[in-house]
Amino acid sequence: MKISLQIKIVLFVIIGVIVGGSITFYIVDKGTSNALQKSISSNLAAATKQTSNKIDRFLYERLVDVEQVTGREQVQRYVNDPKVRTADFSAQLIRQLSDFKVLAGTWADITLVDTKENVVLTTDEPKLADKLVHQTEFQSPYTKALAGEVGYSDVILEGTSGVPIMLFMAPIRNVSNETQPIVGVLVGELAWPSTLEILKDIGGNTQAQIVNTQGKFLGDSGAEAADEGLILRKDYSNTEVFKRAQNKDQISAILPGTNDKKKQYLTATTKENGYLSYEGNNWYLIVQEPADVAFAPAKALAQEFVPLYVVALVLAIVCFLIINDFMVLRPLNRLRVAALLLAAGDFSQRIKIRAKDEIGELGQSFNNMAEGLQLSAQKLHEEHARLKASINSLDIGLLMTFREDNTISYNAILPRILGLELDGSDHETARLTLDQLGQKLLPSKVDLLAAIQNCQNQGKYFDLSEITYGTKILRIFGAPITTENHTIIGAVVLFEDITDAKILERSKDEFFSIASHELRTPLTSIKGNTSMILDYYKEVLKDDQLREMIDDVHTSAIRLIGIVNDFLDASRLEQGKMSFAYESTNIEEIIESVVYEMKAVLNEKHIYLKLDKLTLNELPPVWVDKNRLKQVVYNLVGNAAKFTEEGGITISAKLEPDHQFVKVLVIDTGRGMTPESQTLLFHKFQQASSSLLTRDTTRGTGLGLYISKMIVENMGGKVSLEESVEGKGSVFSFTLPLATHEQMTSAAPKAKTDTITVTSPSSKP
Amino acid sequence: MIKVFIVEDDPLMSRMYQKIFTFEKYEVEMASNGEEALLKIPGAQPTIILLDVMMPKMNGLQVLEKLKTDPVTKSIPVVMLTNLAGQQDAETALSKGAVKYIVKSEHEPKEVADMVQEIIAGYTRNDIPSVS
Repeated sequence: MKISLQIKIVLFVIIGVIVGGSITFYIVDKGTSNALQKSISSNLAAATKQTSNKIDRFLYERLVDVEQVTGREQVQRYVNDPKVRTADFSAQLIRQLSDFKVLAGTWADITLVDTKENVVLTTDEPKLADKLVHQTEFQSPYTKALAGEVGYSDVILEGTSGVPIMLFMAPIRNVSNETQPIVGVLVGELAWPSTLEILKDIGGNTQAQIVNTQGKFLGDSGAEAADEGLILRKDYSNTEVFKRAQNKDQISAILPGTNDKKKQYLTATTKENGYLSYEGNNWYLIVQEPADVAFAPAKALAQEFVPLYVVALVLAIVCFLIINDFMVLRPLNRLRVAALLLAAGDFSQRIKIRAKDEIGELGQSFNNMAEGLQLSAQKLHEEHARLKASINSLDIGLLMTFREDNTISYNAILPRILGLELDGSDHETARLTLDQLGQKLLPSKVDLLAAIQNCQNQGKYFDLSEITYGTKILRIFGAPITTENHTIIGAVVLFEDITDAKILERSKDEFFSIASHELRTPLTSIKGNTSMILDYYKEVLKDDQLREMIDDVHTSAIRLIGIVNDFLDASRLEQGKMSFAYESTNIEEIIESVVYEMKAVLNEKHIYLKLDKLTLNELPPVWVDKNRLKQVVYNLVGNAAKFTEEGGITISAKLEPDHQFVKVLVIDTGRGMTPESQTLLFHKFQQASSSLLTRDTTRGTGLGLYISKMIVENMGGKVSLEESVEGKGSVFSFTLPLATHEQMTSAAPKAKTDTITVTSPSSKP
Repeated sequence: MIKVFIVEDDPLMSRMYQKIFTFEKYEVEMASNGEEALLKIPGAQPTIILLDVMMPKMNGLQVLEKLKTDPVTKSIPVVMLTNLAGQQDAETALSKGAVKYIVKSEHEPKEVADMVQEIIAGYTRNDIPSVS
């Protein structure tokens, strides 16, 4: 699935922001929570302390209340002297106490008890008052009161309804009698529910509860507290809160806890002994506050922060997208578009580099690549144009087949050569097919289609020469087109109209045969007749001048015949039309015969011609044409003689180290050659003289060495100049191949069958 | 007397060879083309025939063939004369019964006469002459 880079990056950014935000939130939240907890804890502590103080204050006031009552003279008198206890006095006193009770608003009942624990007077029902006196909790404060101090009891759960009450006791003194200072005790029954009104002052959602030392619930600040989700129990004995209170942790906060409604809450407790350390004051104050309420302000703040964070996030993403768009996506898109155009063949595409970052570098690389491509494409185009122009300007028909789609392509001249011009239309529009070509060539007994198929499938070249096509003679040459990885992708077929060349070739042949006959016949006549005059009319030729002239005519004819022969030999050798009759030949025999024939001539010149017999002995036979070999030896020796004035010529021969060739050396003591002259050797018409004007002196066509070279090369050897020192002489050599065993045993000499020979006279019209 | 029959179309050549053989005391008869030669030779019965290769109407090789098939002329030695230095022509001529093949420009008339004399001498000794 293709997901745009843009989307991917946005997703990554969002994920990053969420993870980072969460971590930040967590850290902030933790810190905030801790701070809040501390703050709340201290708030609760303060509330607890305040409440404790209020309670202490309240209790102090009640003590003052009871002391005030016991301080009354009527009360003292009534308790001290049973005689005054008339019905009227009793009723009066009960009325007074009841008024006080109502006035103070906090007292349930007031009872007067003597030192013998007998109820003397009560605002309560006498039975209930009697029962109260016998309560366990009664004894401690009672004893304290008898000792002269004010005391109060623990909170007592009175009766079946379990209404909590508290007993305050103050000594009733005998004002008149010093011997018995305390005559009774005032027992104030404090109505606990009214006491709890104090707790309500804590206010808000904070709930205060009072439990006794056993963890039993004694009362709370209000019934509605239960609705706030606080844990309100009748028994706190097993709670963490209570245990902490018992351990006298002044203030403890427990966070978090779970109540029935799964709400968090904070709890703080205190056991306040405070400055009102009355004996038996043993109860615990538990202050609770709902966590959600406590955290509400902080949460509100956090909620204000969240939209800001989201706005910042959105802004960051937008900024990123804009930057990404301008710095990454747009350049990438430009690159993509340019690459597409490039692929479509528009090599002029270039990217404007706007930044030197990675994308800029990519753009630069792209530009370099495009430039390289453009250059190559341009070169290719030029090459293509050159090639096309060359092919179209060829006078050879060119056909290319494309194996893949079985199509062909050909140049303009091909239909003209094959006479296939249809209505003179352009060859670009009127396409020939391969089948048409094949059909056209069938009368010439050429299966072009098969040849092309073979060429394409086997990679074989074909060369069909001298195809008679109508009045024309064609040469058809085919070659496979092979790619670098050796796949044949088609074939190229060349159609050459060789009619003119063939006609020219034939006329050349005829020219040579005519030249050889028509030139040599009169020359032979001149030579023969002068020779006969010199031989048979000696007595007539008394005049030396006349004789010399006829002799010169004779010599001229000989030289002219030699020149004609040289020209003919050179031409035939060049055309490969000289025939060679090979046979296994003793090289010594040949050289000896030449030496024999030339010795006389050279003697006249007073130069020696030596045959180095030692080196010639035991040489194996060579495979040569005797007459041609003789011609070569004549040439080389004649050449050496031409340039030698003193000394002479030595011929030697040796077996080459490879045992494949015999090398013949012609060593002269002639004038030698300059290095420049040496480079001109063996070329047509080149004599080893530095100037055209000096040519005459050596008398020759300059074809001798050239012909010798061609003959020796035809026989498989090589002519070389071994060395030449000016003023000292030259050494020429030629090599000849040894006859193989089969060649030595084969009988008669045979003319080389693969060469076309001189046209026979019968072809003359 | 030895009779040399020269078949040569070119008068320059025929006259030259006529002279040398006359100088050398041979009896000479001549024909200027193949047809004439084939007409004259059976009656002339020469000792030896010098036959030019390159001639109009009928060339020397064709004349040679005819001479060698005619029982009257087939035993007369034939020397081919030419100015074509083609070795294969020489071989063809020899295979058709010629005794020698002489390139005219390469030899003086006297040398040709000497060669003919040698051939006649050798022919009587039943020697087989070789190609020059």
